[in-house]
Amino acid sequence: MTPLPFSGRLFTTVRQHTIVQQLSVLLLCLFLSVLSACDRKEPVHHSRFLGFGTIIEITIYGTDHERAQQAIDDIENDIAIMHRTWHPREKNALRRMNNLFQTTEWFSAAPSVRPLILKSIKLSQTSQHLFNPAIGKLIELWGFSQDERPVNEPPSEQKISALVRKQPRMSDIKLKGITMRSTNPDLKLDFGAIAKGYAIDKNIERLRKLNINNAIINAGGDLRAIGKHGERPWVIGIRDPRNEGVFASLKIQEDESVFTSGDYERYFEYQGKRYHHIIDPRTGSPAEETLSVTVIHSDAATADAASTALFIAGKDYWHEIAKNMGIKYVMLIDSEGTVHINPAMRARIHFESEKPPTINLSEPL
Amino acid sequence: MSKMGKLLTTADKVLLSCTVLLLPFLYFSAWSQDLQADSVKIWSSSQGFQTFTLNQKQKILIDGAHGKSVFEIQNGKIRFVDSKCTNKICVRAGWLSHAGAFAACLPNNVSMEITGTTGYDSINF
Amino acid sequence: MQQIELEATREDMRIAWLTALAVTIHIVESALPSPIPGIKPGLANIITIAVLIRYGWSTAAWVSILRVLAGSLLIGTFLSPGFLLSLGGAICSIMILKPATYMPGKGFGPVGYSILAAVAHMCGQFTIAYTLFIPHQAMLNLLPVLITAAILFGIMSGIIASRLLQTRNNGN
Repeated sequence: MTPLPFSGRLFTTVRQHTIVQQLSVLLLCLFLSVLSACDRKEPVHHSRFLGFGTIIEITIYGTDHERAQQAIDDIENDIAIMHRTWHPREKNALRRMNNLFQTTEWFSAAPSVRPLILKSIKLSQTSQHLFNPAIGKLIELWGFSQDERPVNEPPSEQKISALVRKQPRMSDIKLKGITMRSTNPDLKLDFGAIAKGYAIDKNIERLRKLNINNAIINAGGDLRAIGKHGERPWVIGIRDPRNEGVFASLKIQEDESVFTSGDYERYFEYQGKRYHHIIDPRTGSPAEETLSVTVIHSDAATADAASTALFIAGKDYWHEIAKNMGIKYVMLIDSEGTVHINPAMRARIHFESEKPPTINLSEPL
Repeated sequence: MSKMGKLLTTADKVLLSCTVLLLPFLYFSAWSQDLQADSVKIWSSSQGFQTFTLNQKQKILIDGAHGKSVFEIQNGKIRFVDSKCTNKICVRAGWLSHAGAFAACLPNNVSMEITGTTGYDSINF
Repeated sequence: MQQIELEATREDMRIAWLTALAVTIHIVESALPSPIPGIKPGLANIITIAVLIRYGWSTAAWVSILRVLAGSLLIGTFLSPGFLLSLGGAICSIMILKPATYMPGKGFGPVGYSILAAVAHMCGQFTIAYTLFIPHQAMLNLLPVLITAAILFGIMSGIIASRLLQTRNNGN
């Protein structure tokens, strides 16, 4: 009875047939790499909380969940403070300043509000005052300065024109060191069109300081995204202004804010007509003819102000204002559903529906 | 690698090509499952999370911070019918049906979210 | 009293040796980490395929089952979830190999059998894992990845089995 036939021969043949050896090694490497890909815990951390009267959603990639949640909790607190500080109806520094503006006397600006004022002055200028936080009284008249709206009837024409005539503007604010005054007693600041953007910027900086470089802060649909989702860019879906589905998407390049102003965000209906919260400072009434404007820009405060200004500018003047403000990506949908878009933005937007909308391609920005 | 030719019979080659061709289909059908939306999670500060199926027609009453929020499920969709708030923004959101869709009645502390992922990292609106 | 002599034929010895080899591979494989505990690439299939081609299906089936049983007894996982997964995988590969042997013409080569066995093995393991242990939607996301891995390992195993058979032919 011969001994087991294979023993000697197998080992010699293995030495000769190195292909078998190589294949085994390759096999093992492949196996291990497949494993390492599967075994990693999904490194995306999501969190939602209330802030600025809306839902804030923060997404962080590549940071362990504990550290990510800690950062998010800090942001939640910070946003709560900012919301109170800039709320037009709270007993806060802004209220005191608004009272002092009415006196047209010089006073010391509160440090929590001053930076916002400086930023707003610049943006108001470049937007030809279409972005105008100085029309606080008008916004109050329409009932959009508070979170809950008690009245569902548009204000009278007289009241509106009385306020429009006063033409309060950010340029009415004079600066001297840390003091300031208003030359116009009807100036009242309402930062609704920029507060969220500014708050997002501050908190993106906070995340960066914590060495979190891949994140999205989304406040009620307006967001700023930094870094990437691992190896691929962040993908943002844009909701259709008239229904719940996503009708377009875009990919974030490095560090960008995506802001949309729409006539569907805050509004009331009276006798079949919709009155939304984006007041045109020139007419004193909600801007008409535009359904929504989507803007991509680096910092969120500018994107926030720009989306408001361009909404008011409408399909005839958005291009001029965008150029003035240095905005490079704009998509405006007018009341007829036509999409007005500049070439650079067109290249970035991917329309999801089978029927792409009617597109009006503008000159480059 | 001419040895590879001898290594594989005709049947082998056919089998190999078939499996390679079918593979993307397998990925697609398995991974698109994620986007399916067949249930909704309703949250309220007093009752926490509750899950309901979208496949059954039903009316749901949830206790919120100030009173009741009423939901209606029909044809795989859900909406706020009424809620204890002034602006009724939640009701205005209308019917939700897509995976990951979300709506809330902030004053009443009630929210709803359809299960599944939206397919995007974040939604701008 | 008559003494019953069991004569181990040369073939028996070969099969025993091959089974031992299969068991060894099985044990080594059990030491490797896995995305889902217990699901293995099925490297021991190399032996199953070689036996299938050289000695036929029933021998291969026998070797397979023995491998799983002996392996689990030696590791100490007999009747454990891991054992059930191995057994499920082995049974599925055996079951698919039988009809495969009826392929007309030259039929399948070692690579073809190996792919079929590996994929069936993985599917068997996955079904048992999914139904008995982790009935979670997220598991389904892993399936295409596992099947892809199975196909790759099937090809590799097939090539190795083919080499093994060639050297045996040369040796004999």
